[in-house]
Amino acid sequence: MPKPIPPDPDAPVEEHRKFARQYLASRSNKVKPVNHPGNDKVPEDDDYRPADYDPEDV
Amino acid sequence: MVYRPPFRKQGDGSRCQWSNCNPASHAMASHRHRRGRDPLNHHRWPPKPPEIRNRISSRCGGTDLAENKSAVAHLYEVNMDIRYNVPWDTFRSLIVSGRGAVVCIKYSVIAPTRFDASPGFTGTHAVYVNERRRSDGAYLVYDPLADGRRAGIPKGPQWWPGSLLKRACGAYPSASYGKVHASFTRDTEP
Repeated sequence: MPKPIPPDPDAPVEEHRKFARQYLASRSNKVKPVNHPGNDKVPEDDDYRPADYDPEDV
Repeated sequence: MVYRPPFRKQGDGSRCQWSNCNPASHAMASHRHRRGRDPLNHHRWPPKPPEIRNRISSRCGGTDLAENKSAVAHLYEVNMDIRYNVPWDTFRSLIVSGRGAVVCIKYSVIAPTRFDASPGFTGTHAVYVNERRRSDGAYLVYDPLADGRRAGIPKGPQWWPGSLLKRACGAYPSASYGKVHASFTRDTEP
């Protein structure tokens, strides 16, 4: 089956819908990213807390 | 007009709030996926970050797309479609087709811009993308850190230039320029 090609961004929405259905049907979500053993999981020591975080602000 | 879910901030005072970017983004995506309709199961509606976090783990720390997908399926009967390393043109087309998406980004790309919602933060992050504006190719991004908690912090959804979103997605550690790790909602548009 040929690989679907995304339409031009200004193409009619129906073309994008058709492409999206084909794409999602053709690609398994089992494909995991390579070279990142954490598989997207942010390491425990990666602090999300904003540097300027102040509990009084929330 | 594309359906727009309510904005959910991650800094809501709940447990693990500053590591809840992915649950907050999935709360907004779930709302979009269901167009605001309560599944009428025994879980709370509307979707909120703490419920998703509690479903995933009793511990704090980052969460991934798969964990959040599983949580929102259980809580809200939402079936997100995860795809890794999606080419940018493909991502754009899926958004134009009527889907929203949670995407993984590196905040160091956003930090030097007026969209920076957490000065000093440069780590990995998740945001919800609702739609693309045809006139200039900008994307309506719901950054869960953008809560306007003080002057200079953006508040609510912002139109990010397409080039900025593309760079931020491509800078995510396991992605590369022009690729996106994303979890898509269903096509919600009539």
